[in-house]
Amino acid sequence: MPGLGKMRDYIPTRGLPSGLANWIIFAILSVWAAFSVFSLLWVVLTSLRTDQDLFNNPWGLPYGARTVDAQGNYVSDQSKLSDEEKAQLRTIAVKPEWINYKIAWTIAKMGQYTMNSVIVTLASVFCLVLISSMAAYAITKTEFLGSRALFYYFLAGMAVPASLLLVPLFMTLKDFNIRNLCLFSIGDYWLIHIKDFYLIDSRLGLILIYTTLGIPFTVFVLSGFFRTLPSALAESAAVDGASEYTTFWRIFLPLAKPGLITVAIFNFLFVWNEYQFALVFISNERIKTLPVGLYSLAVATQHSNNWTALFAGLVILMLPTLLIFVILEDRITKGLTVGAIKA
Amino acid sequence: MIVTGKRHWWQRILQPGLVLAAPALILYTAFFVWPALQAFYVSLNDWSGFAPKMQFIGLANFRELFYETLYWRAVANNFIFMIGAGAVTFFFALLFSAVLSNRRFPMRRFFKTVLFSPYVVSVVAVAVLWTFIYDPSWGLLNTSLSYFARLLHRIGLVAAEKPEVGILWLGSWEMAIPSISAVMVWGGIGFYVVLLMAGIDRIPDDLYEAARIDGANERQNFFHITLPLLKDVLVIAVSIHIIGSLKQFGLIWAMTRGTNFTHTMETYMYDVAFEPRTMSFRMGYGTSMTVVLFFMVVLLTFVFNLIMRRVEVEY
Repeated sequence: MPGLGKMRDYIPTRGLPSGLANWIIFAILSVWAAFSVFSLLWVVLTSLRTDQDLFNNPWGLPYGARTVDAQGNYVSDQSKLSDEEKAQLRTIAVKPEWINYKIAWTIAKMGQYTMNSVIVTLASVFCLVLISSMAAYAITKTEFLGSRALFYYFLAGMAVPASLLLVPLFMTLKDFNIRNLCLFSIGDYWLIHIKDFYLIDSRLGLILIYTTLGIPFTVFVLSGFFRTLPSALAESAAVDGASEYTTFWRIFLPLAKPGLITVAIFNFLFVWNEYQFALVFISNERIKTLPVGLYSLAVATQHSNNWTALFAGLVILMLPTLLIFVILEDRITKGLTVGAIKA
Repeated sequence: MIVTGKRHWWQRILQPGLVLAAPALILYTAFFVWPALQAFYVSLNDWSGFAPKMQFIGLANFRELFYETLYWRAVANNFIFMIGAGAVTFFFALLFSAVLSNRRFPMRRFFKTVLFSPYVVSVVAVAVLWTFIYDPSWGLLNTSLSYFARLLHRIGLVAAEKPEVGILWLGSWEMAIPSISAVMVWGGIGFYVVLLMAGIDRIPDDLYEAARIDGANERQNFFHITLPLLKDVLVIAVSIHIIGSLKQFGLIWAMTRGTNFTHTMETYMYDVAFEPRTMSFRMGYGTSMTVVLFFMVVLLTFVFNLIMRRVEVEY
């Protein structure tokens, strides 16, 4: 066939602006990207400076030399000084202030908040993926009364703005305080004895909330994923005498791994970044998650004026997710489109 | 189906499927569906959150809501964000996704990464970052504008001896709304670009090849093939945007805490029901706002999809 080689070279451009328009958009994109990268870089660099240095020159670098007067104040305009004052000027060296990170991590408690975020995120994502995959498998691969209706029951949750649940959940969880939770007693000995079992203002309550909030989306996406797996596998496993539980655990769960990883990443991002519910349900300093912690640090900074420590805190909050994103970019963007377009 | 032996009544109820679904089902019912239903009842009550009992007051919360100007201001803000930030977002998102789908576009991967990256960062981080950028005295924006003004002064265009730009970007409603909208565009565009790019990639190559053979130019391709076939994805994207802008909370709360009349429905609800500084703790009243929000979300999504279904695709 004539011209086939040429056809293969041809990459359809999908009706895109060509020529000059293309370059104008390229210029816009470049400015946009430069601004994003530059502002991130500015935050990282500023987090290594002192407040005084920042106020003196917001665009400065965390190293170099500065001219200061006898009192140690920065001098920006030397022409206004008298000769005597000029003689007292000296130059000081500026070095990266790694102590800002120490301040943010310990005094501003970002370390504690990070720990809380890690605990809450890992626990909720694990529970969420486990119970949602069980439910999604049940909906798509087994038959029971109302299995079809169950799918729509879970799906309905996606139409509900989460803020509708704030007050009722607050109401429910507030009353869910058990001072001494004792299970399995043998004589005077308790096998499980939890003192002060609270759901409000506690990590456990937050884990419970995040697990529940994620169920509609996760069940929906995983159901779509399980549907693509062949049902014949379940039938042949049943012929071999495997129970439904074995089939799920040994056959379908391993097969669904890519889907599980995708929803795990999404729920990780959701829980790690979640702000509204953490703000409402956590007030204790010791168990705040990172976003709420950074917010309270930002509020405190307006009085304490330790801005560069806030910059450091911002870096601590942003960096983990940005790193994960850069590593897993394709997975995240692909998973995102699968989740949204199939809906 | 292999039936082995007689099945007890409880075996018929405790089918494996139901057992597997049970944990999710119980959690979801107890902590999602039930509270959602409760919300409708709570909104009919006066309740301080700490008083032991709620007081049933019928629709009084909704009536108060209807006459409260600050609430309507919040609703208006939501719609300004929806339409204003939405228009800019979708204009640029379409533009960017169109060029970035071109596999020969220079640095397309880098642009995609940079555009999308704010999406993975917590809104609080985005908010704090932008309060730094908008800071009147040492923020990036004002200092670069000052630098620019000094440059103009040097070439004699600005008369002021020492031009210092001290714009309060978040200092008034008129300034804060566009400033916050800009943050929303910056933070949200990556998601829509990725979504639209996936939509564009799904369009089969043959259509463009056929069009090319018929002598269509690139602009015709875009308006007669890409855009019409992108309609479904575009409808999804706009629906997500509509719902998202009605639910706007974290960004505004962390940037302005609703000062200067920048409240949205959810920040105002938080302010009324939970904020310790406000000390109002009117949880019943707050819930009535979220109930209205729920109906708005359902209604707007429904109406939008209805309208879009009517729009005939021509190509």
